[in-house]
Amino acid sequence: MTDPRFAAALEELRREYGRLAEAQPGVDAIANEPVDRDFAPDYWSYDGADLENEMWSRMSELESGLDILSAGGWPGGLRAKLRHLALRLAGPLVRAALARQDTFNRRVQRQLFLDFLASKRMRQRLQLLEADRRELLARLDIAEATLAAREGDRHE
Amino acid sequence: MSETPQRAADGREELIAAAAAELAALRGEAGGAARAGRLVAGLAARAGTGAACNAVDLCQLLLGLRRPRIAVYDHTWHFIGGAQKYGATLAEALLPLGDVTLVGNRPFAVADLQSWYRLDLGACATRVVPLPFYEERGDDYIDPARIVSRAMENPFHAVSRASLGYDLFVNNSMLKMVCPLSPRSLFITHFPERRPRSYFYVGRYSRVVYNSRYTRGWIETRWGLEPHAHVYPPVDMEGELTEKETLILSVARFDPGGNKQQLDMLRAFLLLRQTRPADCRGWKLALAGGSHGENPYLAQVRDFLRAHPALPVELHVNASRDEVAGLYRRAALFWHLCGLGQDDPARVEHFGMTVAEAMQNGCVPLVFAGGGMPEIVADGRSGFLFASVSSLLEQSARLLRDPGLRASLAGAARRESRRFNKEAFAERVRALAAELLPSPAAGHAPGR
Repeated sequence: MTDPRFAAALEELRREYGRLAEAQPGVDAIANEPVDRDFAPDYWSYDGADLENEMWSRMSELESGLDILSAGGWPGGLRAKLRHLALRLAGPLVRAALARQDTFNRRVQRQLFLDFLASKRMRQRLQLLEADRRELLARLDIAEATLAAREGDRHE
Repeated sequence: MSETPQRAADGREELIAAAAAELAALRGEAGGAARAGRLVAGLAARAGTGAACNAVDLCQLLLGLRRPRIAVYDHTWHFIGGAQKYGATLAEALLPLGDVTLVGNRPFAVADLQSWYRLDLGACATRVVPLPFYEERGDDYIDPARIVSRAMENPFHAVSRASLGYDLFVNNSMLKMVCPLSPRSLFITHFPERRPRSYFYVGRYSRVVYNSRYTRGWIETRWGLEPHAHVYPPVDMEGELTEKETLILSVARFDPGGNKQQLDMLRAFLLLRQTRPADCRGWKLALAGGSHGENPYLAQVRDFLRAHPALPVELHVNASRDEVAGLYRRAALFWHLCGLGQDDPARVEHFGMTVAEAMQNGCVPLVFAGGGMPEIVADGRSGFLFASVSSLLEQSARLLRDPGLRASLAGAARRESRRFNKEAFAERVRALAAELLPSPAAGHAPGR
């Protein structure tokens, strides 16, 4: 039989460490080890469905986390001022280069998006053609069977 | 080579189990409480506050101080579906072993689950863990595919944190992004739809469960993990045998993407009637299945039927369970084409619950020879497997002509489908949970 005082001590320990865990900033801290990691994908080994899943999912990532223009967080204001100063010093040359790069990036992004949609449409079209092919093969089977049956009747 | 996830659960679990046993051994010693405090503090410093909580939890179970706390998590409890039925039946099966809480991310009602799946879940508690990431975006559906890299936050860590409050955390949600922090955990794999990317924690679960050998193969291929336990989904549709009608049945939801291929079935039925009119005399086809909201595929099915008004087809959309049970009782044959001609493994039936339901009611199944279906139907003994429409037509015509063959296959189908019933499922689930939860030491039976 467990001593009730020992049971109460366990209960108290659980509450205390539960509170401490809750106060931890993240899961890594609770587990005391880095649990978060990325897996390096080998796209060459992906099949069509894998690739499509990957492309579709990554679409929402394109602009995520790229906080290029805002000056959020401390010392955001100071950073923004320094950036403006640097831009002013570097003059129109840098601005023009950045503007060109931005335009180019947008064009590439749009191109890739169109490529993705085109491959998706092709896949749908292929599936329809596959369905048609299956049906035609089935009809062919049936036609052959019917002809064979008629041939058999004629011989009888 | 793709990087593959490694098993990470074993070492951590061994450490925690050893600490729990050490703690339990202190129960009769003088100054045991103080020594327990030092032991737990040392563990927290070495392995984190989560491990400290886990060790105390396991120790309490070992000493029989309380019943195990079990969580069954699913982010889609509010939908009707096969995977959700699996989770809810699993929760019911675990009730004798501990206090079960159903955890979700959106409000849901236990009463709905009870009526949808005919289960007794009255003793289950519920808990909603909101995910602000999705709530702020006003997303209708919680789509895990939105999170693709660690540059984005992991909204599911809210659930990971909640898992720390339980002795056994069961993830029925297929959400690989929930990191289990409970001492013991189960990951239920209905199908590995995507390759591991960021926030992939399946390797951190104590046991990875799969629903069919087909799914197992894809877990190995896509995740590089060897799963532990095979638990077929629960199928409990067995009704009384009555006189069969000349009816071919299909039960599958009307998937908006056409995944269940009812249109292919209609075309096949049309071909069957055109080529074997004598065999088909008096036979009808019934398509039953659920549909949600605007459904372009169901619209195509209706268009097809309008274009062929003479085709004897019954359409039962969103039929009640009793209505579906009645169809199973009436139908002599059961068709399931899902997977025919597909190149995406996710579009092939991973198990095929409705096939097993049909067999329990003495319908002879004619099903596509792919996915999990060859595990349910023994070709030529309890039904037929086909790989092409022509083969489906040939086998169907044979059965339409031969009532004796139908009767013998139907009997075998009914007998063989019993291995998928709810009792077999519950037994398997309880054995798995009992493996993971420590039994209380002698003389320390847990009370409610």
